[in-house]
Amino acid sequence: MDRESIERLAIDSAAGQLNEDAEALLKEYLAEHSEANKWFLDIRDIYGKTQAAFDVKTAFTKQSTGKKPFLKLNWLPVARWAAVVIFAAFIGVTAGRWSKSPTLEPNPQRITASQGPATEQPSFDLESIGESFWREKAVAMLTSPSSRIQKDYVTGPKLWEKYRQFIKEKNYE
Amino acid sequence: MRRLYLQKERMKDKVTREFQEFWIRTADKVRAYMFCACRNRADAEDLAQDCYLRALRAWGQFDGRASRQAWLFGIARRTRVDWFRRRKREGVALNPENMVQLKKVESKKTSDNKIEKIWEIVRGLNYEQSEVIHLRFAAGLDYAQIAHTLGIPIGTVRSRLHRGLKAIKENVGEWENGP
Repeated sequence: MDRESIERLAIDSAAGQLNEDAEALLKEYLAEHSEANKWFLDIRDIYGKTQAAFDVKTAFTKQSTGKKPFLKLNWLPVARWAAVVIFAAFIGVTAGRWSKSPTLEPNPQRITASQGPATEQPSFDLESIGESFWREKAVAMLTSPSSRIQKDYVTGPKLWEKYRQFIKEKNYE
Repeated sequence: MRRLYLQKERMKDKVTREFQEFWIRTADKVRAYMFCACRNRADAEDLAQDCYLRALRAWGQFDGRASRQAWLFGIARRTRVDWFRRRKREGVALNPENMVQLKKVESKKTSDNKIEKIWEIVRGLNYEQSEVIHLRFAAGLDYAQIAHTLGIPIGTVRSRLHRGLKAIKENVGEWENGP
């Protein structure tokens, strides 16, 4: 085998590109040929020194590995939308500032939507009843201080009482 | 409509996670590859960031013909070429096709100097050879990945790598033997 072939095989072996069978055959050949072995070792030596030179010169590159790159968002579309929103808000605020504000009338006319039922208390005259059992009863109830009927008669029934009366009458119906 | 929106959001999360994991696995190799071209840490970081931005935009266009890593380094290579062209337009004397001539190291031949010497020799190599050497030694790609990245056959990768290493060996030998 010529020198060039030996040297190429030596480089392939150093680069890990030879399979096991080729490595074994080469080793066998070199054991039998001392001159070929010398060429092999020379080129392997320079291969090793070249690798060492590169390792020394590029040692700094291995120091900062380990940190994950910070993948930033693509801010351009976000910035575009933000600009549109800010511009629209600006237009709205400016238009609102320069337009006339609605003025209130000092005495707005009140409109009656509907009138509820009359809340007058029914009145009756005790004198018209005459002397009877019921007249006595009515007088006693009206004059009693805790009488609810008296209170209603004087002040008028409350809303809750009116509602209860309404429910009772409805149920009787 | 809502289902489509949720599906889209889930896909976006999945792509984000995949990209982050991919970035963690490959970031140092891409930075090293970029550093070989520009020889400046800040520029290397900028170029690496540019490369990953392009990769993120084209994430869905990966066709699966080669490994994702080879696809990434194809993007990295084009990013590098664009940077060279920009520098050329700006008037900075840095052309990948006419590399700087080798400088002779006059000081002691220590191991540190040997490393510097090899670094300078690689810089002075032919553009095609230096590309293969950068991808092999800085990025750690195998022959198939380098072939796919550069768009050349594997045999061409082997021969360029061999010629590059032979040139390094000869120059180091000359330097060690002295004037």
